[in-house]
Order: sequence, then C-alpha cells, then structure tokens
Amino acid sequence: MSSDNHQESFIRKYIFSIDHKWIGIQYGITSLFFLLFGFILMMIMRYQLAYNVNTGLEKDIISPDMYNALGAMHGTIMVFLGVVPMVVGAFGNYLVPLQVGAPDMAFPKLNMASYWLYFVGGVVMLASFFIPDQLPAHSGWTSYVPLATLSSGPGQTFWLFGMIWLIASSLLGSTNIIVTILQLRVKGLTWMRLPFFIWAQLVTSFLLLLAFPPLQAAAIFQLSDIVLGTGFFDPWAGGSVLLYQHLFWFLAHPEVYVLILPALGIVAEIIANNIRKPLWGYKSMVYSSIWLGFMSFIVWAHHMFLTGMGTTMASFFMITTMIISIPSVVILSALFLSLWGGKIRFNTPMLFALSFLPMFGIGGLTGLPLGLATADIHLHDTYYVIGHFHYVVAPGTIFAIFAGIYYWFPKITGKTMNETLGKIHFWGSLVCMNGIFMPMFLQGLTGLSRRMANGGYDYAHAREVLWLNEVMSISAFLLFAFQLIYIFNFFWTLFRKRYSTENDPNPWQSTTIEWTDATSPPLGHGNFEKIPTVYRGAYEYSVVGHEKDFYPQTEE
Amino acid sequence: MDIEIPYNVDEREDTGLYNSKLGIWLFLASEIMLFGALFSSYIILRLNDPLPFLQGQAKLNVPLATLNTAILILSSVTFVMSWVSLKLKDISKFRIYMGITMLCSFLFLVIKYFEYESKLSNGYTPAYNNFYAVYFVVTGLHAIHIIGGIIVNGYLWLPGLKMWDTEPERFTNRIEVAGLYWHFVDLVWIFVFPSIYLL
Amino acid sequence: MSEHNIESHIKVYWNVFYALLAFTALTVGVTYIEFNSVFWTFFVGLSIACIKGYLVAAYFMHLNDETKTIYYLLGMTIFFLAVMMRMPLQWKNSAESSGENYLPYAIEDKATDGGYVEKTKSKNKKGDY
Repeated sequence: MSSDNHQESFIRKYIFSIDHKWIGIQYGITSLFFLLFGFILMMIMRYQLAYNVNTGLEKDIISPDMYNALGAMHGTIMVFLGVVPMVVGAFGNYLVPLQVGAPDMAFPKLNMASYWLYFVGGVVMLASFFIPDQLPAHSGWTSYVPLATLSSGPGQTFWLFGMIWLIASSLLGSTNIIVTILQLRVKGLTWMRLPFFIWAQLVTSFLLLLAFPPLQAAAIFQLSDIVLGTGFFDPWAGGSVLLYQHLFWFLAHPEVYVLILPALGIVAEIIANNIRKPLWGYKSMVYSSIWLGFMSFIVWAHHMFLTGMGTTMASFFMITTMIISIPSVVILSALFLSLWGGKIRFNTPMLFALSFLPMFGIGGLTGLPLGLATADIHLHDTYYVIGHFHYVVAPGTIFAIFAGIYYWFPKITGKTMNETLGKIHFWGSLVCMNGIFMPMFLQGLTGLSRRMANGGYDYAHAREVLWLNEVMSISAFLLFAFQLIYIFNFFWTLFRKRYSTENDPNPWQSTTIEWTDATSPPLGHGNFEKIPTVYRGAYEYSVVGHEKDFYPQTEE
Repeated sequence: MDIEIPYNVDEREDTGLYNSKLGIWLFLASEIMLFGALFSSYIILRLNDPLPFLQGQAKLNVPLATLNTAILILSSVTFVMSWVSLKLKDISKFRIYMGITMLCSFLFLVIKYFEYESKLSNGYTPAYNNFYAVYFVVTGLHAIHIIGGIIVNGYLWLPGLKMWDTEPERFTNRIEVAGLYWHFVDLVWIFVFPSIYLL
Repeated sequence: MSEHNIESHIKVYWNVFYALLAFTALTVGVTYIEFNSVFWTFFVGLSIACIKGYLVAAYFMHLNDETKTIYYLLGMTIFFLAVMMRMPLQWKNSAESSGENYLPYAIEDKATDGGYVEKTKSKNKKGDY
C-alpha cells in the first residue's frame, strides 16, 4: 500500500508533488508568506492613518489612491491568498486524508493542479504591484462597479485575471475534499464518529463549490466590461450596477463562513484534546454546521441594505440573518460548555483556541446590529464593520490558525515548538489584537466611514475619536513585533535537531487517527503502515474503566 | 509511484459511486451555478432594457443554430454509444463513435466561427449593445467549454486509449465521466439555444 | 451491467436521440405561433427545453439509475440556483412596488433605442478614478 523504493527526482518530490502532505505544506508556506505580506500592507496604511493626516497631502507617505490600493489588496490577499488557502488548502489537504484514514486525497494529481493554480493566481496578484507607473486594483476587495470598471490603469484587470485562477484552484480543491471525505473513510468511520474538523471541512467545501461560480460570472462580466467595452454593469447601456453586487455577495457571504468554519473545526479538535473529556453537544455542532452552511446562501443581501432595497426584501434578509446567528451560537456555546468539568491543559495551542471563543463571540455579537437593517443604516460602511469582521477573522480565524500550527507542528515535523516563546507570542498577540480592533467599534459608532485615506480627519463627527488612530497603529506595530517571536520559534524548531524527548508520535495524547496511527511525520505515499479500522467516536477521553485518559478511535 | 486509492474503479457500498463519478457530478454542480448566474444576469439585463434583445435576436441565424443544436445532440448520442461499445468490449466501435463525436464537436465550432464572423464583420461587437454582450459572453463561454471537452475527448480517443490494455474498467469509467461532462455541455446548449435565439 | 441489459439500452439511447431531434424541430416551429402573452411564449419554449434537458439528463447521463448521494447534491444545487435566479427579480419587484427610487436615474433615461450604445454616453469615463 505505501512504500516503494522508487527514487523520485527533486522536482517530482518537492515541486510537482502529488503527495497531499507536501501539497499541504506548499499551501501552508505560500499562505504564510501572503499573510505576512498582507500584514505589511496594513502596517503602511496604519502608519498613514496615525501620523500623516495633519500634514497635508503632499507630505503623506502614500497618496490617497495608493491608500486605496493598499486597502483593496490587503483585503484580497488576506482573504483569498492568505486565510482560505491556509485553512482549506494547508490544514484541509494535510489533515483530511489522515483523519479519515486514507492513503491520500481522492485525486492526487488534481490536488497538485489546484496548488499550482493558486500559485499562479498569487503571482498575478503580486505582479499587479509592479506595473510601471500604475497602481494595483484600488476599488476595494469588493471591486464594486462602476468604480472598478472606471478606475484608471490595468490593476483591476490583473485582479480579475488573478481571481479566475484562484477560483479555479478553489473549485478543484473543494471537489477533492468532498470526494475524499465521502468515499475514502475507513471501515467503522461512520458519519457521527468523524472528528468535527472533518465536518467543518466538508461543509466549507460545499460552500466553496456552489458559491464561487457566481463570482466567476461577475468577474467575467467585469473583465468583459473593462477589456471588451461591454455594458453589463453600465446603466447607460441598459446594464445594472446592482447585478454586480448580487453576484459578488452571493459568493462573498458564504466565503466568510468558509473563513470561520475550518477555524471552528481546528478549535474544536484542540479544545477536545486539552479538556480530556468529550465535546459537549457534538451532534448539535454537526447539525448546526450543516444548517449554517445552508443558510449562508440566503443571507447575502445584508451587505446591501443601503442600496435602496424594498422593505419586503430588507425584512427577508434581516430575518434570515438573525436566524443564521443561531447555529453559530450553538457551536460556540457547545465549545464553551465543553469546558465545564474538564481537566484543562493550558498549553500554547489551547491558549489560542480558548481565546478564540470570546474573540469570536465579540465578533459575532457585534455582527447583530449590522444584521438589523435599521441599525445598519447608521453603521454600514463605518469602522464598526471593520471592527466586526476583523474580530472574527483576526483574533478569530488567525488565532485558530496559530493554534493549529502549534498543535499539529509535532505531527508534521516530529518536533514541538517552544512553549515559553509560544506563550509570549500568545499574550502579546491577544492584547495587541484587542488594541487594534476594539477602538474601531467606538470610531464606527460615531459614524466614521471606512476606506478614507486620512482616517476621518475632515469630518467633525470624527474629531473626538481621531486619537484612537494612533493607539490602533501602535498596537499594530507591536503585534508585528510579537509575530517575529513566533516566526523565530517556527524556523528555529523546524531546523533544529529532534530532541530525545520528542520520540512520541502522539505527544498530545489525542484520540484521532492522524495522531494514533501515523508516525511523525507520516510515511510518504500511503500514510499508514496498516490501514486502520475505527471502533468508536472521535472524542473518547476519560472513558470510565479505561486505564488511559484517552481511548483512541482505532484501538480495538 | 502511484499509491492505490480505494474506490477508483470499484464502487463504494454505502455511496454506490466510484470516486471520479462523484467528482464530476460535484464539478457539474458548480457549473450549474455558473451558467445559472449567467442566465440570471441575462434575465435581469433583458428586463431592464428589452429592445436591444428583441432587435438583436431577429438578426441571428436561426437555421444555422438549429443545425448546430442537432450536431451537438448527435455528438451526445455517439458519445453514449462509444461508452456502450467499451462495455461490450468492442474497441474499434469505440474509436468510430468517439471519432464521430470529435467530428461533430469540430463542426459545431466551425459553424460557431461563421456565426461570430458574420456578426463581428458587420460591426456587431460585444460592445455594440447589451444583447451582443450577452450573446458573445454566454455562447463564448459555452464554446470554451466545448474546446475543453475536445481536448479531454481527444486525449481519451488517442493517447489515453493505452489505458484500455492495462486497466479496461478504469478506462471505461473515464469515458463515462467524460461523457457526463459532455452531456452537460449539450444540456447547457439546449437551454441557451431557445433563450437567446428564439424566445 | 450484463450484455443483455446494454443491448436494450442501445435502443433506448437512439430513441432518445430521435426524440431530441423532434423536440428541437418543435421548439423552432413553436416560435412561428403567435401567443397572446409573453408568459405563454416563454412557458412553452422553456418547457420544451426542460423536456429535452430531462431526456439528456435521465438517459444519457444515467440520472434515472443514480444514487441518493447524487440526487441530494443536485437537489441542493437546484435549490440554490432557484434562490439565485429568483431573488434579484423579487428585489426589483419589491423595490418598484415600494415606490422607492432604487435606481439613481429615471428609468426612461436608461432604456436604449436597441441600437448601438455609445459608451461615451456614460457620464464618467475610464481613467477618471
């Protein structure tokens, strides 16, 4: 089943690999680079916001157009090149086959293709920064028409072209994950014995599969408008501006659930492992994630409350948005309630996973006024929105990513990252994240609009909260400093020798297949010496009568 | 070099499917959403401003498009027959039927070329008005899907045929899966033809 | 599948082919009939298309004998497709009936005469931003 003595060329093994583990690592390295790049773009913006608004435009380090470009590309890169490839491409590709007991993904060559399509899309997006004398796309990550079609330069065309590659990559990847989960589960791994991480990846992949095509259509139309001169979105040609928004948000709302669901999956795994008891309400979590996935397709227009929609439509989308908060609350509550009575181990992954809960809670709660059409009239397009979505993605998903990296690092490399450095990284990041995003709610409540290069300097209603710009920027720079500690820890652990204490392939004493049946790192080509069979659920910790405090899924 | 992935050829008991069949249906589901988005946009644009659509439609060459429809339907049935030939282990029949399918697909594109040429040379570009924008983008995207199909079918017809000697069931499955894609392309045209040319 | 089964299927496939050709002819023929309402024109035209589509899907794509997994997948897709197609229309109706001017310009301004649309009709040109 697994090993062969075939000596693979360097290119076959490390560049055009069809091994899901190496592809997962490729996705991971590339997306970490893009996350860092997106962070740096944000720091330039924050410097501008904190220090240059009073000095007059000539002294600003970046022009307003450049600020817009940074903003648009920060959003695009973080969402499409950073977070999604990390949670789905890296974590999904690496762990899904291992957790279901499969030798690889269902379509290994397609997997390789999906990575390289992502890579090309990333190169195109990066290339847009280097067009001579021209800006990258500068019409927001949302690329609304008519601004996007009328803005100068080829930057937007690059953006659209890059998106086509990224969407193709995503479609292939999601197909692969769904087929792997449905078809390649080992004997005994029934639906309700799957780790919650797998359920999260399954629902996420369905969202990616069915929601991306309308954005593809929108990108084709917009590209056609810019390059061929068509009038799809041009009202004077009988086109419709709102059509773009419908098509865009039809994807982009499920997209935000794509950002959060895998993170919930990662957090669930780590919490279950570190409380040494089963997750409370596993079944409710599973049904809630399915319900969440389904509902995410019928809430999109809550991003469009201020486009002049009729009251019937506003009510419909408001109601569905309120309903969709229920499954998210169920999942979060189940995770909180699981902590009760647990023998909690506070290692670095657990610290990140635990802090995810209240941080995501803040993000979710602040989403409620935005979902109410009346309150949204005041809050739409203000800093309140930026605060809300960053809370869910930054101290939300990105903390889950950190948690996952610290947690699965020993599986991937056979070495555990340093705990002390990890804890410093954690506390620093937690404080700084809140320092950046909490003030945004205050700014937004005064009515301060987003996407303004001078941070609201011209507006009387923003005067009292302008000082917060400097607070947020300093927090951002400090946050960067703490990430340096993490980067050091990451590379130092990666390149040092394995300690004699690191011989256990299951250092966290977990129950799931990737820990109990695979070596650290797992065998190339085939993952398992012997195909495992599953006998019980995924979270059998502290089982009465069993000597160890964990009962692996595959133990007879 | 290649690891043995379970259920590549045999069907898994509880789902009743082999991997690539599930994979292709998932892909087709996403394509349904893509063409659905295009149709939805077509409806909106036409309701916004119907006149260009009515005028432009009158200028389209319906007989030629009907011929194209018939050609595509023929290619669909010959594709199924090529799969049946494989099931009956008749490789020469497979070659013939797949060859007819390839021929039909090329004919479709040739006729499409003449259609486009007659519009473009008279100045009716996609930028002319929204009817032509929709016409060119929708039929153009469909044509791109035909080209994709030609590439895959061509590969299976010629170099890919080698797999028949070593793994006949896996090859038959490949033809079935490619057939599902091809039938879907035909299905899309079945809706595009009346919506754009006739109604 | 046994050979016997396949042989009977062959007949079915060719019958479906002839049916599809017949419906194609019908679909073109029907365009010559003047229905009084737009609704009936579209209804008849699209129904014929749906029948043809059903024939291709059920027989050529073997959907008749497919598994529950595929049926669920397609059912879900069709549901979301219906939402995506219906909603923008419902939006338009709702905005118009609420009496809100949801377009930043009067409707008469934007209807074209069916001919060439000069893009310079747009008040703003590319490159302004």
